[in-house]
Amino acid sequence: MMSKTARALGAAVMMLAAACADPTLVATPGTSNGALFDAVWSQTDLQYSMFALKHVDWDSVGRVMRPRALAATSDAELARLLGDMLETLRDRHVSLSTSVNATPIAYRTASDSQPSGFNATLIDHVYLTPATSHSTEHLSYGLAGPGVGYVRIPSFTGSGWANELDDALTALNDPAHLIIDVRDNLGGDDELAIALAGRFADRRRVYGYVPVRNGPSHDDFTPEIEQAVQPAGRHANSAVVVLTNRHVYSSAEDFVLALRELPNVTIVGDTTGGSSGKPITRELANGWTFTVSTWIEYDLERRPIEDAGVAPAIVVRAQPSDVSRGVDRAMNRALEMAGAAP
Amino acid sequence: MSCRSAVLVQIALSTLVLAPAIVDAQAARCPQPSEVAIAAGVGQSDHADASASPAQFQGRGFESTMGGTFDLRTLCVGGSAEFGSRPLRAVAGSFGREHAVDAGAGLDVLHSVRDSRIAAGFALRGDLMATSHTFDDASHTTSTFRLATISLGPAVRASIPVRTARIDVSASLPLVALVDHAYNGVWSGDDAPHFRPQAWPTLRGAEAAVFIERRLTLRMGAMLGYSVRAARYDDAQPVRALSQRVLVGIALRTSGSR
Repeated sequence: MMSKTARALGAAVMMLAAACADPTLVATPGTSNGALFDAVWSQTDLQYSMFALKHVDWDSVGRVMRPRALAATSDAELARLLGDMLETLRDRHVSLSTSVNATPIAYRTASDSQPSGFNATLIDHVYLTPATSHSTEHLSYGLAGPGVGYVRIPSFTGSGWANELDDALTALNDPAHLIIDVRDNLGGDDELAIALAGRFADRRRVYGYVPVRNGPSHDDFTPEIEQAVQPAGRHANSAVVVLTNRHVYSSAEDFVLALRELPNVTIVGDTTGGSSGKPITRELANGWTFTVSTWIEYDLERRPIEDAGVAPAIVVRAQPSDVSRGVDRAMNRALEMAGAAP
Repeated sequence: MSCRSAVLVQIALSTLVLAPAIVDAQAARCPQPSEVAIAAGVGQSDHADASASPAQFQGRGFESTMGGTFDLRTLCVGGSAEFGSRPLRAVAGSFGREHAVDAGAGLDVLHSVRDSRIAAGFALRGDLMATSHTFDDASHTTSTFRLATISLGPAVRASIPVRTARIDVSASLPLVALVDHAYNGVWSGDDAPHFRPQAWPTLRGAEAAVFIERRLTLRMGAMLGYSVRAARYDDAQPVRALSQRVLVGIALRTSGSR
């Protein structure tokens, strides 16, 4: 009797294991126009952080755009419509990609496509002493005058290369003045940017606050989380000037925001781009991906960085003719502050 | 949960319900002998966490577990810990890839009912599922998502002697829980858990296991087992999970044979 029971139970175990080889827990997401539209709309509705800040009525946007999406007759047209819908958020961190190699459809302002007036080659040829000029994989540095070091960080993409700045600071031999140039830096990895900022920090300093979207209502957020910079890596004792312009975005703005709170740092140049959302990637069933911002970043005075940017202490705007004339006004001002005539 | 998955859980629970009819009455606190056991094997995990992806992901990988059951005064106390790690792929569609790490620990406090082959009581469990999701975008962005639960609910355990072997059946049902579910992924600036109290039916689940143990010596036995755990968390970003494990191991008795 027991033996039969044991065999029956054993058989049941085997059957269970076999039966559950491919259990279905959720319906497979669809690839129809309606399913793709609904996925983009609803996931954005659930996760995007700045509806109120941007004054966007997302329900209304959905009502207007959905019929047009349903009527789209090609993938390209549907992508354009979904891109149009996402662009109503006026957020550079919100984008739609239809393939790994395709240029993302994303919101851009007129200023994004205007020349920034910054030219890295001009710096290298006109301002840096050739014998001291070096480049690593992620940054360039050299001496711009006696006791005036210059480090250009063109991007914060990647991770784990903060030690390159340590090496640069060592090679520059602790100059009395240091110019950190992040102009045209589109951002990258937040943690890396703040780790690099930590090279200039004398102690832990809070530089901003971020509430993160954490619920289905558009005003569901975590409590404000402190954003802080703290000493990391090789400490730079120099008087630091950070050069910025309108083409500084995202984690590069975090970098500027963090350095702005340090007593030995002066921000010179133009206000940064004002693109501060922390994006998360979402996937669609047809292989497309899109990104949405998930936090609102505020400075210490609780002013949002989004759209407003980070203002410099000393405003120096580049003129369109500067590059052709071989002039970099912000660099000139930084050298003046360092007591080194351009 | 699909019909198939529901049937699976029902069958497992039915096995438990039917077990009392075939057990022999003996006097002790735990249905099975006091013992410690360690086992390893293969598990299959199916899960869909809307905070990471709308799709269902599935994968198989290594599983291990260790545990023990002890008579303690008038109670039967059981403890267990499990660990599993596996790569996952979307069941359908183009949705990147995942790697999931599961860890769990449980404490059962049971008391004999009807006869000593069945014990019922409560199970306190802590479970963590950390999922690293690599998106199918140009830079293969990777985000980490987390579901952690500390749950309390009824549990029951039965033991069926079969000649030189023994079949142990157990099940538990979380009724109240503290749940930490990363809404937008875990990031370094806020990686501490944020537990929120939840209860049935927001968090629904069941766990059942069948182990066959064959005695090799007076103190040692070989085990073969199958366990299944289902969980359904109805948040704004819902989670569905079903994990199954087939395990082989040894059990060492700490008390006399039964």
